[in-house]
Amino acid sequence: MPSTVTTLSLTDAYLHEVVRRLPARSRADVAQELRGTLADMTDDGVARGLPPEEAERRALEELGDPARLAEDYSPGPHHLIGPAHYHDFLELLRVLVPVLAGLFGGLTLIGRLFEEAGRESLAGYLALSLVPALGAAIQGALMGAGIAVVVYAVVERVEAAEAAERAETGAPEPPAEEPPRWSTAQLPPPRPERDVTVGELVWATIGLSFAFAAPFLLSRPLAREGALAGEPLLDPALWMPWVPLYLLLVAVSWGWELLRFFRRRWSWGLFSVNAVVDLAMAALLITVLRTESVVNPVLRDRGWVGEEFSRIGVAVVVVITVWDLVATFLACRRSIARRG
Amino acid sequence: MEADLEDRDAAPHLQQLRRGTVVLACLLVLDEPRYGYALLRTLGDAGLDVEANTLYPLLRRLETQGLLESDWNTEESRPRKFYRITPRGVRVRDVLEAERLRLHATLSALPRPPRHTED
Repeated sequence: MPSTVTTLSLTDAYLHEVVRRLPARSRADVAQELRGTLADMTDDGVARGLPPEEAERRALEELGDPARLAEDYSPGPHHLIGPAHYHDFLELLRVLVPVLAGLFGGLTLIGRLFEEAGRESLAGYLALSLVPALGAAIQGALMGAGIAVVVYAVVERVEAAEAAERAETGAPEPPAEEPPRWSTAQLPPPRPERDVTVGELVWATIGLSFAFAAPFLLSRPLAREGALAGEPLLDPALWMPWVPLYLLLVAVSWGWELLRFFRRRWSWGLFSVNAVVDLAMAALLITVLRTESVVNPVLRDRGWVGEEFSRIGVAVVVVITVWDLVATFLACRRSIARRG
Repeated sequence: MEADLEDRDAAPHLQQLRRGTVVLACLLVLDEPRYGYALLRTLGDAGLDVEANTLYPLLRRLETQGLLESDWNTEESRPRKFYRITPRGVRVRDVLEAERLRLHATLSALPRPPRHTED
């Protein structure tokens, strides 16, 4: 009977599609029950005068999409992260992605800048430093996103499993299945708001690391061959006493960033300390620019760096300092005004 | 046409209204053991159109909740799974039935303004 063979295989295919989506322990039972039902439904169809294949097909179509049927059998989280955790997930994502991207990218960039590879030309040197750093930053961002997804997907499943267990072992209790009432005691203690995010601290740290590394990077020889072999960009005579002072100020700036992070909120004291550090740094840089060569005199002799260098340098320092003072002033005033 | 449109508006609400009644119907009927397809036909003959793909998962859920119990009958040519109500199921059924009667009475007794019939 070839027709029986085809209808059987259709049923088998259908049952397989349902059952493979169910927990292993209920598979055989569900399959056997549905098989019996389908046989009964087919018999009814045949009794109404349908050919067996047609009756079987109609029975299967009445049961409908196997995926939907399986979903009805095992309602559970068929999503990765549900509404209960979505917000916390986003918050974790916002921290992890910039932090890991910055960390990976920054560390790679610093490592590459101190490497010898590609030193023959400036473009090659920059490309060999920036491209891997960008790649590492993307990797860090993806890793951060991956960690956030895995953490909350696991939390979601563990909670669903616990709820299912509670439902199954809840036998001795009366059938009232009321969830525990929410009370204000469950409210987490209010967290003081913060003006500064972890991401900002990380970015500031990366920026200041570069500021710290700059004099060392600029003191490395530009080229190994040719007329300028062994000559750095920075005037070697500049080091004492200026560079240690500069490094000290960069370190103090980083200390201030840490202080701002742990204080959480802006204050006028915080603003004043930043203003003092800013002005000290500006005074140092302007003094250096006006009294020292800064760039290697070899380059000045070749006419590569002209007299306008120090004027442009001073203008840049002034603009950046004023900008930072205004920006921190506005941020501080806004934060204090918001608190009333 | 008019009736069709009204049906479409009412369909989702009707579904909501009927959803809980299937559970009650099963619990009311299953004092006597029945297998899924027989139950489906009993309900259908009584005028409750329940889809097979709704009923079977529902029976299994009621079983895991301990409101129904089941036995495989393999004496006949076709093995069938027979469901029967448990003492716990009886308690739930009584609560649901009382609530159904209360709801019926409450809804009928709701104060309503005189109805405008649209022609």
